[in-house]
Amino acid sequence: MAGTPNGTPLLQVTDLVKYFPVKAGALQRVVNHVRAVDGVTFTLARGQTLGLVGESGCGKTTLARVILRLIPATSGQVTFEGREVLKVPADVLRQLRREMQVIFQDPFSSLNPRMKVGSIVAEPLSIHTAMSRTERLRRVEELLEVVGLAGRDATRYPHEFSGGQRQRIGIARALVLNPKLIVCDEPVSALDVSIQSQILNLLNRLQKSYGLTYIFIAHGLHVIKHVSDRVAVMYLGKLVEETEADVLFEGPLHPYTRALVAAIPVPDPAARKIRAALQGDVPSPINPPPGCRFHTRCTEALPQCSQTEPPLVQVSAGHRVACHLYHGA
Amino acid sequence: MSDRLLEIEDLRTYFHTLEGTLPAVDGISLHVDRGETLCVVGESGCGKSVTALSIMRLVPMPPGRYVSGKINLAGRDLLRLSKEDMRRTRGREVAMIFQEPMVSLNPVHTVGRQIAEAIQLHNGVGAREAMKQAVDALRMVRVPDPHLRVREFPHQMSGGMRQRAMIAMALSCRPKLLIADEPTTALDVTVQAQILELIRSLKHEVGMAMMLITHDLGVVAEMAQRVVVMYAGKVVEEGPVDAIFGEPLHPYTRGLLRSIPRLDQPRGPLAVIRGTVPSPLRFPSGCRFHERDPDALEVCRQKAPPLIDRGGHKVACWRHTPDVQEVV
Repeated sequence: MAGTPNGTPLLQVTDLVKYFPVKAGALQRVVNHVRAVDGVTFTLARGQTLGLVGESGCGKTTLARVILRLIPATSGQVTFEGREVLKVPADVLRQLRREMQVIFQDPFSSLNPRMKVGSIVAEPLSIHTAMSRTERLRRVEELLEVVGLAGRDATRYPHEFSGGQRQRIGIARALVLNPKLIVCDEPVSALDVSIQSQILNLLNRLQKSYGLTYIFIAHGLHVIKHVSDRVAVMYLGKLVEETEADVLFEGPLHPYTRALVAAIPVPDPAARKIRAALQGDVPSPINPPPGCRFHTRCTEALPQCSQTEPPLVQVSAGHRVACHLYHGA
Repeated sequence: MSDRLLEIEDLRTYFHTLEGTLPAVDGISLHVDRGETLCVVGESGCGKSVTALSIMRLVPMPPGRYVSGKINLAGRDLLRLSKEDMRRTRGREVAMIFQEPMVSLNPVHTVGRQIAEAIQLHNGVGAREAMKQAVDALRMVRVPDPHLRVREFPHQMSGGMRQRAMIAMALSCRPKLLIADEPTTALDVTVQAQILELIRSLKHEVGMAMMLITHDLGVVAEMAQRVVVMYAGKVVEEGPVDAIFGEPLHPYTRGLLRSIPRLDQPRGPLAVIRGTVPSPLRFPSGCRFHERDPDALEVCRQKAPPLIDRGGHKVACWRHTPDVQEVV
């Protein structure tokens, strides 16, 4: 497929769906579904970073969790190096888990406060490998140094560290099993501005030295632009646009992507502009609007937008858009 | 009459805890002119929110304590007002909106009732009239169907709508100064843009001044006329927005501006400010930024630099202090 160099993709996601049941009444009958992820298809090449953007509630975190099989999918396929992530038996899944890791947003709640840093980072090793205590300790110290902490920090507790340092601990834990894919779920949004760039540089350096592949979830678009090779834009459970990062930011096609890009605050007082290109809020994913889910907020909606849902189709090499404006042209 | 609305002089707000004294705000001076937008920028723990709470006299005491200073609002020192006078001042003279509207709104009362309560309290009108004004207030913040929305509870509204309701409540008594503490940080970019746009136009309609607290330099560039940069409880730089972005003087401001990824910048390593934000329990000696500044001088380690005025652009940095040689 276009836009995926380096041979076969590491990850292939096909028509992935995740509905959460909405229960009501004394019998807790299923009355509806939250369509968190509704037919998502993309591929991710080895060593690349896919940025996943969208407003809160668009399903980006759910998508990541379903891909990692942390929650079951409703339907669809996830292929990781030829293995069906959603179907493999428990022993293969164990191996897959070593290869797919995750870094969370909040470095304050994702580290067990009662465990020493050394044990936190070593935990995956004790679960997945037969390493001895000393081997584990050596590996932990090595990794703490890789992420910019000191080996002796292994004997300290998480509360002794600042937010940025805790995020480094989370990164060390994610790296300890030599994974191939790391899902970074808003890894810098809880950090101070002066610390964000340290962590972004660290993630970038680690990607180069270990050949890592990232799925990078963030709502800060300037961060996404900085880290991503390709960017996928989600709206109410659907991908609306997917292409190379530079293309997306220089020539966004989908009206939603255009609004997102226009809404980015630019740190330059000379570039002041009217940013509020988009009116209203994101509709509920329980009863998403018919047709194109974005048509209720779209300034360029055509008559068919409220009736037929536009498929995600390729409009140029490696650039997919789901919008009637670009179809049949 | 001068156009100075708020003037803070040498404010020190400390917190006394079991671990020691936290000088959260440690001798800051700043001002806001009538109708002006001042942005206060800084990272967590720099004292920007405590400054806002000090103006509102909402710092919990104990453990908090005003150690020194004056907060003059329209000629009166807020720190000397009685509790009763301060209650009347809040809302009518100065109002505040917070980052997370869900926390600041009462979940068991309708939005309309909460707005009406503030109006009744400050304007002395009856319940029916107050509710009518609450509908007007929601209309003013562009909430669709305000007569229906007044009957909703906070949880029935989206984050953007709740923030609008908060703004409606804050503006219902037409304050002279609005303090907004990270008002859009919890919102999505598209909604953030809407809310900033709203705040900007309301500011003109109501003719109030605003103190906007944020860590987002993009928001600052968009909203501010003047900027105050805080670090570790102190003001390190202050100036017109164009000067702060065009010719930042303090190494911290320069580092901040360089470290944010820009859309027009190619990928590659970002500039960083080394080290971490210091804890208020252990602020470094001398200039509190010196440990993170690769070009720190000897004097930076020993003495705190004064805030020097260089033609309306103030900076607290020894390298910009004319008589630094004499000091050394």
